[in-house]
Amino acid sequence: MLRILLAEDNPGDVRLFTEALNSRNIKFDLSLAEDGQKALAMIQRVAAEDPANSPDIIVLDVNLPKHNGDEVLRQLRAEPRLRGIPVVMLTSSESPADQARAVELGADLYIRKPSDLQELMDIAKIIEDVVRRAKA
Amino acid sequence: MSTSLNAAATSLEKETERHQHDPQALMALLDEMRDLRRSAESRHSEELQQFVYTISHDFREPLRMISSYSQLLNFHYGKQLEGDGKEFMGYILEAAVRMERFLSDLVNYSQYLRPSDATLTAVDPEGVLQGILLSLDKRIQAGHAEITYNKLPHVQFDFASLSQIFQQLISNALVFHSAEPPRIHISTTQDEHVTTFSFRDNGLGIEPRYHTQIFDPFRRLHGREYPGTGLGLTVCKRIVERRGGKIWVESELGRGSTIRFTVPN
Repeated sequence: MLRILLAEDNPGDVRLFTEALNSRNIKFDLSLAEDGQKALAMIQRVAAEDPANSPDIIVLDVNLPKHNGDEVLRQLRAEPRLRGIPVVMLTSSESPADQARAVELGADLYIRKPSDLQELMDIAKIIEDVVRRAKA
Repeated sequence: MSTSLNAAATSLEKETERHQHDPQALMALLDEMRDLRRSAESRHSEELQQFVYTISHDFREPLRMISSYSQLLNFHYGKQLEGDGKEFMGYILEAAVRMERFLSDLVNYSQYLRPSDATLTAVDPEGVLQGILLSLDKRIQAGHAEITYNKLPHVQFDFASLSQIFQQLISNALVFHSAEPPRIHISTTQDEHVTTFSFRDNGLGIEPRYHTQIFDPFRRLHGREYPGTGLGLTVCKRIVERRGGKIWVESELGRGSTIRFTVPN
């Protein structure tokens, strides 16, 4: 059971994400945060009270209300208990500058939101790979 | 922008009267006007580029939803959709793809709206060509196309921009081919001022009355039977003119086309 924290404010994109996981029959337990502030609060609470149930992976939309994805990432990486959790940034931007900045801030990966079915299914595979590598 | 230019023009008028007999002062005023105009143009085109980029970006978000969900619908329920339903779905999917291509081309075009900040270096067009031939390889093979070239001299350009031109011209020749397999030949001539590139093909050809129109944004000579958003040659023209050159076509319907563009030495 893959524990995922997803920070995403667009319900359409949330559903695309879960459809992507379903397409590969991945069993998952999804925690959803609609803005950056909630995302941080959720992660910090779990790290403090229930570390055994920390997410296996955190997926962040770059553009979030109240603390954008960059800001959440920065705070995540500053927290020693949370450093081991892989973080994937989701973006609709194609800018290489955004990509470079995300890597600089400590994201494990930076992927574009899907525009078609193939990209959708690829995302699920990427999520699996990232988790596998982090556990190894 | 116009207020500061108007103010400068008024000031210039006054100063001209005052300094009628002082050519140096007049020249200084003229330089000031030129600088003002240049920075106004630069600001204007940056604003325009930002505007176009923002609009395209904001369009692409909901478009992504339409594309993704129509494909998901098709994936999960396609088999249950019969005749009409399938046809309707097909139109939605096709329209979404076209819109995405259009927006992508628009964003690409918008980056050339501002003055170039790329440094000019000695670019080897043969290197550029090799790269383009590699990236277009599948289409070249599929069309049984033959691409030849003479020795191409180095030119003062930036690699990315010259690549964009080569990519577009070759791609056009591959798309707008006649009944024969495409044959494209690239050559140059040089004089003391410019290097002139020529891209000659054996494709459909273009009637003389359309020779300037094809470089205008969104002007196409064909319908859906040929892919394209009508921005390809517009981008080429923009890049060439930004570099200080000219681009034009020599062609007749049914007799292939030669696109020529100049690069100042």
